[in-house]
Amino acid sequence: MFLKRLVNLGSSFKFALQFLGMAILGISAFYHDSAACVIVDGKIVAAAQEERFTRKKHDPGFPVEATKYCLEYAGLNIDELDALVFYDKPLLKFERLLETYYGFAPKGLQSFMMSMPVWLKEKMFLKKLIKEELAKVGEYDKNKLKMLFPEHHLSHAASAYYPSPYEEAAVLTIDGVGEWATASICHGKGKDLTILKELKFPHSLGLLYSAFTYYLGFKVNSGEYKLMGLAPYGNPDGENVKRFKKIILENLVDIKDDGSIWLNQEYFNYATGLRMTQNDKWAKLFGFKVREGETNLEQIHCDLGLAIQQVTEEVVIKMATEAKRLTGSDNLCLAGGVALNCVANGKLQRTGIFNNIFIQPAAGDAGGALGAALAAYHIYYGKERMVSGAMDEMQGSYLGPENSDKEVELMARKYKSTFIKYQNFDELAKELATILADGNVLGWHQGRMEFGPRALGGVVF
Amino acid sequence: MQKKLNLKIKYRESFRPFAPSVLAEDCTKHFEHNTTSPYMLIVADVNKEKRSPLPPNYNELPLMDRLYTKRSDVQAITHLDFSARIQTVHKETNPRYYKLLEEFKAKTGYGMLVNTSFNVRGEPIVCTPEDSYRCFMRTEMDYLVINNFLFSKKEQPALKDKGDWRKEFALD
Repeated sequence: MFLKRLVNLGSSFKFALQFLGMAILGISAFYHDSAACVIVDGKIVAAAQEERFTRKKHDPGFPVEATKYCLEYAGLNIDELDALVFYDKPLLKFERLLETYYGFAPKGLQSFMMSMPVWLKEKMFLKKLIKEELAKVGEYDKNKLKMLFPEHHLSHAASAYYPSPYEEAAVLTIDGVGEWATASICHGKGKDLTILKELKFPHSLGLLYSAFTYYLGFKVNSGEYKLMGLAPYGNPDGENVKRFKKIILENLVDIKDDGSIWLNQEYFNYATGLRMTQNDKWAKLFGFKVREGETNLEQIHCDLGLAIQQVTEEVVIKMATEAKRLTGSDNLCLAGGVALNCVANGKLQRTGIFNNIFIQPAAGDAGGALGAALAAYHIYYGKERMVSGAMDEMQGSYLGPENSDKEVELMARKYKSTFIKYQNFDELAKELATILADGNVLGWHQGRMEFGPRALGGVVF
Repeated sequence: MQKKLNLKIKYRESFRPFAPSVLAEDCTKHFEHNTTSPYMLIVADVNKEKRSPLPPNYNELPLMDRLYTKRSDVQAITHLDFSARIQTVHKETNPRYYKLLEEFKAKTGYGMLVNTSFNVRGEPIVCTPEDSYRCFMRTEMDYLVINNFLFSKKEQPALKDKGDWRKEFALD
């Protein structure tokens, strides 16, 4: 705690001293799933994804509405913030783009032409852009605002470790790509978080999974969930899955004992092109063409889905084994897009490599906002970390806005809808149990909105 | 139930699985999982004694036949390989949902409900009472509860929609 502002109470010349905690705003934006969060004295006060307010799924724009909500909930204005923390480092990402381009020239010209203007205009001038966008949230003093840019994977690692219930833990982050790192192993101890090992672009488990997501006809960055749901339709005893797995391991990816992977770039197109895969080469390998979206799913698609799911699980388990070797810890914290692969998480848990596992629920880029803010608090400002003894510090991930009865009544008036208002929730719960037992489907809208992609209380039956 | 929910409520692909919310204390009764999973991020198998015997040619059956083969007493949330994506519900973090599960258990013996996100395909999860109500009215959901307000579909006036709302959200 420190002196935050001095308020002159007018002619009486009395001064009131107001003490506020250290307040940090975390932002992730401009890639996919933008989000904002506010932490005060290291405690997560509010967090929300922009898509919920704008109704645009995976909205990548600056999170104006989410920021407004977080600040309002915390009772803060922008000038009262100690820092605004952005979830990645613009220059590093820019360098990767540049180096990839040179490394693969001249094939990459098309991708470069397409993405370059955006990067140049938006990311290089990120500070300026953020300042301008922030003005849409509210008035503030541009000269006073402090901005910090922790590395992408440090933000992810921080989002997994700091809210975890452990005093000490191994931290594994796996996703598509941040700056150069595509996966990292860290060690968290007290307030310290140290990066021990990193896997570098273009070798990426997240991008490998995304390449298959694309080839099987789903959208990259959002269809990965569908691929995971599809995999169990694959026939585990059939020849296809075994054959596909062999093809993948012999041609596409080399898995080392320490869990690091090497992707054969001859088969991929994401480094230089706008598509994920070299479709003709894949068709030759697997014996069928890229599946167009919304067309019929056949057994062969499911079998390939199961093969890549099994390969992914193998890599995740090897990476975790390496994290165990490097840290010797009993506890593991997971984050990054691949940590949302709950099938792999389940397998990992059953190996018993770690006694305890905590997974950041907002494991994708939205969680980056939270991680960035926590990294700034504990690493940049060097503030101590307290473990409260709760299940974890995410508060069930119910960190979003809550609707008042007044808002519900206004909505009901607008739609001239009919409702019964219960005075007592216990009575309502009994009625709902009867409704559900009769086989009805119920929409459930209660309390604070969840942060992260899972609906932790939505439509139930 | 999985078919109804996928096609009539979520308007999404019929192959996609559903996840159970279960009272944290009851988790081991149904699943091979002995720790928490509050964020629906861990998949575990349905307990062996809860599984139904499968036909010998199960893995060779056409996709949809396999999907609709009875696999357990909690069919809608038992995926083809007996796995389930579990959400353990805890009194401390979600008292109302916990209470609902307790009441449901008192009535049916199951402290478990199928849970899916409150949205249609391509739409972000609902945020305001208005989002919820519109989603409720446009799908075949039977009831909606917001805070202590209970809405029954039968009692509602028709929703006046401009244009085809299914084009409002691009498919994901």
